[in-house]
Amino acid sequence: MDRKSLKATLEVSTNVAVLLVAISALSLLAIFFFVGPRKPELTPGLEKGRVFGNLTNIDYRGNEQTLIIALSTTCPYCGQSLPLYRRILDTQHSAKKPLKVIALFPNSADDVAKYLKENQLTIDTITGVDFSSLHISGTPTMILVNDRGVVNDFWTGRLDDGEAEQVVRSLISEKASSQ
Amino acid sequence: MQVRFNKRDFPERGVHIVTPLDPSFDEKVRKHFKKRNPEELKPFSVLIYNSGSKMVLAYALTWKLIRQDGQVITKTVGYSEPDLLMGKEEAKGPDYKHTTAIETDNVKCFTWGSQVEPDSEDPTENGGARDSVFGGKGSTADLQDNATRLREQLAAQLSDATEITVSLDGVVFEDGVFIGTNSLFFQQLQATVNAKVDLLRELGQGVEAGRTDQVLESIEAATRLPDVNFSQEFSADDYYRFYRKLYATEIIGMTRSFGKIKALPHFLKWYHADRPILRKE
Repeated sequence: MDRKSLKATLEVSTNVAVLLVAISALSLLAIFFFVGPRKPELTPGLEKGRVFGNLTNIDYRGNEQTLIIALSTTCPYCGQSLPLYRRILDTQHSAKKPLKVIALFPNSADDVAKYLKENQLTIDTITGVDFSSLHISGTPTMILVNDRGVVNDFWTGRLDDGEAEQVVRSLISEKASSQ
Repeated sequence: MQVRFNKRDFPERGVHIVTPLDPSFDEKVRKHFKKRNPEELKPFSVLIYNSGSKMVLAYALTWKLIRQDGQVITKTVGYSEPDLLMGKEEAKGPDYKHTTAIETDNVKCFTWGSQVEPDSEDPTENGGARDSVFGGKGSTADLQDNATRLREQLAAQLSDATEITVSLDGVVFEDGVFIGTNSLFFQQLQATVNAKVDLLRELGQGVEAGRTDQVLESIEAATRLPDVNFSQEFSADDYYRFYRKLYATEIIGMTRSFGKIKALPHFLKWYHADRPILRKE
């Protein structure tokens, strides 16, 4: 191929490439303009009255109520919620119904041990948990289940003072916790 | 983008939140909203379904959104139709049209912070808003524009969420029993009901003691009290005074419009009617 025809081929190829890029960009813009952003896809979450996901390490039958706290070592809102968990652990023994408290982490056992030590939290834990299989999408989340593993109540995210007070009250009040 | 939808309701008491993920959502929308398409209400609407034996008179619904950055946005709205708690006889009738109360085997529909208008057989009712998802007054075209814009804004806001939790924090049944944890809602409702019942009692006792003019003067004086400015901190007393003034204005207005001969027997009947006592379970 001589120099002239090579130049012509390159010019045509460049033009075609530019044209293709322009068409693609315009198409994308048109799609976005006419179709708009995709609707978010809903997935089922936690529900009162439904059996909580299968956690082989926990036997709910031994306790009238079990409070499961889903945490992560890297979640800042979990750290901010630690005073509430300490308070619950303190009231655990004065609850009218026997209450077991257990923390779930998606992290490794080593990371969790370090986290608990750093934050001076003494709590039973299960590590390496896949939260999505338990319908939990974020941390922190607290789930109160009865002796059959049925969700009695749950609380998502960092709770404000009023909500935290309600949680503590519902855990130490027999009537509230049975609702 | 996946959004996890949690719900906190009272299934054991027959009061259920039905989300678009529930298999019965479409069927319930078609049954109870003849002019609504279930798709139009998705993805961010829920139904409250009453499968129990008692009518639900009031409820507090909280939407809690957790965004991708971890920020939490919460909105609680109390919905109530306390006529029965105030002793309004007409509210007991089978033909009474309940706007907010949920009768047995019935639903009401809600989206973030508001109730979705129910179907209306009368096109002029509700300012012609029957085709609008979001309530309001105005021409049908305006309402549709507003509804579309609001729906888009809402969808954009909610689309940023990773998790949505819809909670029923408080429910009041027709026998006056309150269940739930939202004490603020209970106190607000109690203040509203007490304001009305106290006025009816004052009026009834005054009329029966032959002091009609004096008692009407006293109620009229309540209409002239300064407006109540709600402080940031909730006060049951503020609520009570606000509603006392409102209901006093209503009583005086009706007495002037219909005359004492017609209006007073109506209020006396109301005063003597049986009413359930609002109380925590």
